[in-house]
Amino acid sequence: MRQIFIFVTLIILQACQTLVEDVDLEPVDPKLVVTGYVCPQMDSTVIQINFSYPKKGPLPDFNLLQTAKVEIKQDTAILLLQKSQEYTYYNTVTYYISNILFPIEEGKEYNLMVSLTNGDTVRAKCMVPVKPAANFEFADVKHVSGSLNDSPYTSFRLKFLDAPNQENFYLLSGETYDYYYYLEDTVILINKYYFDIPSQMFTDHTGGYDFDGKTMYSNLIKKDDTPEDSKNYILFCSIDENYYRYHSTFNNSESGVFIEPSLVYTNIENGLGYFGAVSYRSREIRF
Amino acid sequence: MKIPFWFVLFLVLTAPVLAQKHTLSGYVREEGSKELLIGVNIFVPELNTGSITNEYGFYSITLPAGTYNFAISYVGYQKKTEEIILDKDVVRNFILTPGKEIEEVIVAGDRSQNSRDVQMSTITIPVREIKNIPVFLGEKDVLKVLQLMPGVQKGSEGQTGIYVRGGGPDQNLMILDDAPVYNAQHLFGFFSVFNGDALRSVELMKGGFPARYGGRLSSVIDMNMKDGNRNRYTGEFGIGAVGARGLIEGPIIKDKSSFIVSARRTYIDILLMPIILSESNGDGMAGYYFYDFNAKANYDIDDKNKLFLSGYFGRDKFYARSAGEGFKAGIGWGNATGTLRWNHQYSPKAFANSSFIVSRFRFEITGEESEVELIKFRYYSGIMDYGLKHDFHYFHSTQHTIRAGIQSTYHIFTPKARSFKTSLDEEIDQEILDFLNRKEEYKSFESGIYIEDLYKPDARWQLQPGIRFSAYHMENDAYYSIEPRFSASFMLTENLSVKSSYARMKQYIHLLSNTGIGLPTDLWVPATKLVKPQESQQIAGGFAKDLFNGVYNISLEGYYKWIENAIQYKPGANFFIELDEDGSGNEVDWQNLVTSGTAKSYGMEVFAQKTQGKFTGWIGYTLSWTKLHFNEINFGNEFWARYDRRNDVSLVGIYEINSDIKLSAVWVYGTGNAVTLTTGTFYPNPDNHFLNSNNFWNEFSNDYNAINDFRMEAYHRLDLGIQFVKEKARGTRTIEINVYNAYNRKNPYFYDWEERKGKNVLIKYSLFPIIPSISYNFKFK
Repeated sequence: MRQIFIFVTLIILQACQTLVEDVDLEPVDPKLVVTGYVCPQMDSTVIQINFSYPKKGPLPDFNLLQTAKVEIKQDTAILLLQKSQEYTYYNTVTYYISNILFPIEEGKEYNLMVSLTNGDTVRAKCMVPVKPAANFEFADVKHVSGSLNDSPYTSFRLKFLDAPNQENFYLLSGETYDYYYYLEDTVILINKYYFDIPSQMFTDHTGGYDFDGKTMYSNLIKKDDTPEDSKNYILFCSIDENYYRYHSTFNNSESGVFIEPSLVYTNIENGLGYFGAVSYRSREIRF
Repeated sequence: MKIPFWFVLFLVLTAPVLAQKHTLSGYVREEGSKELLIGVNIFVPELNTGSITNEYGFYSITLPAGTYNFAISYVGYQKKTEEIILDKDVVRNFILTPGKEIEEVIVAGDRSQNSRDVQMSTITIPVREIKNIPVFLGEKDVLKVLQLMPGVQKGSEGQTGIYVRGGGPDQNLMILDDAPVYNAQHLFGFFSVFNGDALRSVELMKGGFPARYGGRLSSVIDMNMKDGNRNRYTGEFGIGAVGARGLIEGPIIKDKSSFIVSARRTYIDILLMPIILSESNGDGMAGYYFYDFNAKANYDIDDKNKLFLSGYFGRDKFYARSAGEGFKAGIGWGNATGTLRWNHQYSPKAFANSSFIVSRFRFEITGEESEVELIKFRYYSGIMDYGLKHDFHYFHSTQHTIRAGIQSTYHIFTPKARSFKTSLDEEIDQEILDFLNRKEEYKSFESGIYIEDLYKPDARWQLQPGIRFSAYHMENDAYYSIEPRFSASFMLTENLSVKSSYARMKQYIHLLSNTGIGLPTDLWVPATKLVKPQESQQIAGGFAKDLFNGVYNISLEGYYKWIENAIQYKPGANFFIELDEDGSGNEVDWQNLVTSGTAKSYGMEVFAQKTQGKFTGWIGYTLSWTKLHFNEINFGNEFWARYDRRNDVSLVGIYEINSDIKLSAVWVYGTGNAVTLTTGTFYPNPDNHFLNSNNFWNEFSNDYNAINDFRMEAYHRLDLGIQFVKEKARGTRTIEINVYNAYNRKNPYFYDWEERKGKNVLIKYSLFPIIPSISYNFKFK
């Protein structure tokens, strides 16, 4: 019986081997991947560029990224961004400009153009949203003791009024400072790290409900493993649709033969990535 | 028996018109078994009019007083002519004798059905043809025969899932003796749950739906089980490559009551058991099987009242256990349906059926570990229905046949439920235990009331207007709908008709499916406030032509269908997210995993059929387009449905060399499925300033051009079969040899990228090479 089973298995495996074939496909060129956003509250605007790797096609020439021309335009003002030497992942090249030289303002449209020396050019634009109203509140602070699998944490809610008659996109994040000071090159630095919680992005049409102009709540959880005397800040951001849709893609990034694939959103014409905008308020929360 | 007031009123109002007319009514049965026959033509040549038996074998025809020659004919049976003097209401039950298939022409119908039937987009599947068509591993399958019809797309290789005129697999109303069957697939869709041995009739409707049907958008597959032989005990059994089946039927009380029982089970697990036990030193066991069990009994209370009780039970089961490690696990799914029907004849012209229906589908994962401490886990999802319906059939005159009815179904949806038991209960936090013992349940009522009239103003026109009101209630939410239906046919010549139809359909339940290949993990969920009911409208028009006295039928149809509130999983969402948490402590709600959109499908179908003679078969051709539009998929751009198929061809031929040998062949061709292909990868470089805890920082993303913008290779396949039939002393023995995929076509199942020597290569994976099989069947006399 065992011999029969082995024999049948070998036949099936042989048959399966012949059921796999190579498929000829037209090659495609690498695409320019551009990522970055403008934010009035930040010191600089950073744009990063890279190439995609075609499954079938020529490998990208990463040298082209080093000599790219990256410019931002607002009305008639055009500024070229400088290349940064900072370390990045996977051949990504960073370009930046100080916001002192090129102030970012709420409600204004910004245009981005990236040109390579081989003639490839991509463009994108975004509108800076107005930051959330200042009258948001924290509520329902609750400390939860740890359990078998979970560390203790503090849950709380952020309550705010949605700006009416427009689709709004929000991002909630947090950062914590503790009082660990150290000297580096005669400068005092404050250690800063983020909450150990997932950041949240949502819209005023979350879960199929229309919250337009209504009071919204968002639940947050902060794990209680930060020093007691640390300072905790909530960053409450208005983000534009480009930032929201690009990053939302990765929240649904599971893939597999039986899962509908997620197309990565892009507003980069002829390329990949995003050019978005963020405007935020920061407020300390005491537990 | 209390007659409804409205019925009495109707009779009173129409009585003057009916003066001097008499009614011939009764049932038509098969000789020998006394099985009721559906769709038998009762034709009156003198008046060029007639009637047809309904789904319970009942007919009624009202004519002016006189003497008529009634011609009773049915494909596959010998025609019968009987002179009847109609000077009063007459009850006459007819018996038809099955024709020998070898005869050149079995039935010479006075009027062939195809061109004269008002109903378009409808195909009646001859059940005995199902047994003649070569199939995968010799397992006869109703749904695989339906896939060979124009307008019905096949889905993936070997699958029984059907996609009718661009609709999804959830948009097919599959009813077995009035009970809906929610998951019609065994072994991930390679076999269907319908055992052809137990079926009496199968009818597929793709459009122009009569008002009596509702609740699904794209098709109705109406199946009726046999009643059982009323004359004598008989049976049949068969042994195939993967399973065995058997059927027993016979009278309970001769000519008054009968029963039929059929069962089928696969035995792969039993064959492999010694090997697995040997490999695991007797400690472990694993296997898979499925079974079906059909049973039906009927009883004639008197001439005017009949009772039918029928049921179906089927289950698939994967199991694994290890005695040494105290481990058990299983995945199982199955349907159970039950129908109690009461036929009542109010008068020679008025017939009614009342049904109580129960239907259940459940998918279940179980696990048990007892080596250290006892831990038991169970997850399940499913749907349970309790339904009541009453259908009234009034054969008013040769001009009007009216149907009206009401039905209501109580649905209990369980998208997910789990239970967890352990001897460590005291040591586990109650909150965790609560999470592990949750059940999500939705209860809803779906109701419908309808009326339709088959109106024949003259010999050339047939009109069938109808209207259905449907209502759906779930908790505080309610949806109501008016669904007009209309069919018309006009005889251009003696055997050529032009037809048209319109139907508006509403569907209050949805199937969440990632795969489209019939995994039992597909979830049935209700329409809710957030997820609205699906709605479709379809217009169709065409011609039907009969040739050579109905030996050949040809039909040509064009259709346009549009669907609103179709649902799909959002990109990246799937069944397994349903099982998980979203990371914020809140369990994921399936309603947030789906998105609504629209679909449109249009095309043309040609169906040419030869129904009689030594050679029978058909050619089906479909030219179609199906496009979807979802705001949250493909950046809101329209895209092809996965099973959009520009060209689809089916050729089916069955040839009887003599009474002992029968040859059959099926060739199918279909444009390749539309799928989404990765064209590249890139580092997405997400913002790490504000977004601080996601887990995709260093992962590459796939770059897709668009959803479903890549076409798989065309699918084509030839299946061959030969049957050796021999009459034995106790019955008929049939040995059947089938060859699936006779020319070993490597049809694509899916594509994937593979890296070879530093280069990416797109690989096509196929599923089934040439597969021969043999089966043995014996039918007792």
